[in-house]
Amino acid sequence: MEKHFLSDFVTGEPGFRPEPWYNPYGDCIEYQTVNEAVVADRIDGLLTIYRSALTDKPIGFQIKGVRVLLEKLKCHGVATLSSEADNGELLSLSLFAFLNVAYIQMPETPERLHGYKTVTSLVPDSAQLPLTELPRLQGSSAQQTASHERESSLAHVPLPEPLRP
Amino acid sequence: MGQARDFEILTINPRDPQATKIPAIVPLGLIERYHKYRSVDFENLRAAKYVLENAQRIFSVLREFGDEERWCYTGRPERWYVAENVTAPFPDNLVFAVYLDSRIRIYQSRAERVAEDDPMSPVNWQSRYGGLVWKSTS
Repeated sequence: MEKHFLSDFVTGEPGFRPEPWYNPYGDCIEYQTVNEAVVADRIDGLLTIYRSALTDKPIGFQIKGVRVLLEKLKCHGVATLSSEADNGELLSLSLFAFLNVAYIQMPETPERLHGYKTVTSLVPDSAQLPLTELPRLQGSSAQQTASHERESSLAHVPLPEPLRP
Repeated sequence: MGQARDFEILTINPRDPQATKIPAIVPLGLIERYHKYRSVDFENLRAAKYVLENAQRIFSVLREFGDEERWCYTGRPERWYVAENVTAPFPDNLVFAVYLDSRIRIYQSRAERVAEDDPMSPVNWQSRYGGLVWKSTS
């Protein structure tokens, strides 16, 4: 292959890291476990599975509508699937939180359940998204709002977790 | 040394396909992220550039939440990267899709399975997109 047309825009060696990323341009979370080309497998309006172009196995996924999902998480209680500092300040949100809140936005179907279970099996318990990398919630920073909600009774409403392995 | 700016690719204006071409933006943040953490996707920005310059279909995109206008450009590059340092012919059963936001910025590019009724459209395009905005006649 010829020189990459964007090679002057980057430095260092190209790499790969299987970690979740909030893509601010698409307002979506992307998670990919293998450095291979992906083929999209749309499950519903919020979840798309990434299948390997080489093996067709699921190797990641995309969750769309993150700003709205964050608002909905705030209402369901973010404390159930998050990590926090010693002072109780929220630091990050689990990928499971986003998968759960995306799942409950639409009626359950066997196809949706299978799709969400498929991607849930790809996610390690440690997969978290730092609040600093997520969009700010309306009227406040995500961190401030999340901390506030955690202290309220709303924070103790458990998220349904039908998808946890 | 890298340049602290976005990259631009001339493409069809999705709001007025007959008008003069407009620049689609490849955000520097996306370029750097792909290069550092998803090198195969970085390499496949070549395919995205090809599709924007040789689009076959343009669809308006509907999102479950939000009403910001977005578009999907599709086409078929000759080759693409399937793994690190591994290229292959682009398969006949796939189409390469490039997604643009309302500011005509690329936010995603990837392969999709082709529709049964059109080899240049992604599967289920009738239900998942807002509509076909433009179709190549060449």
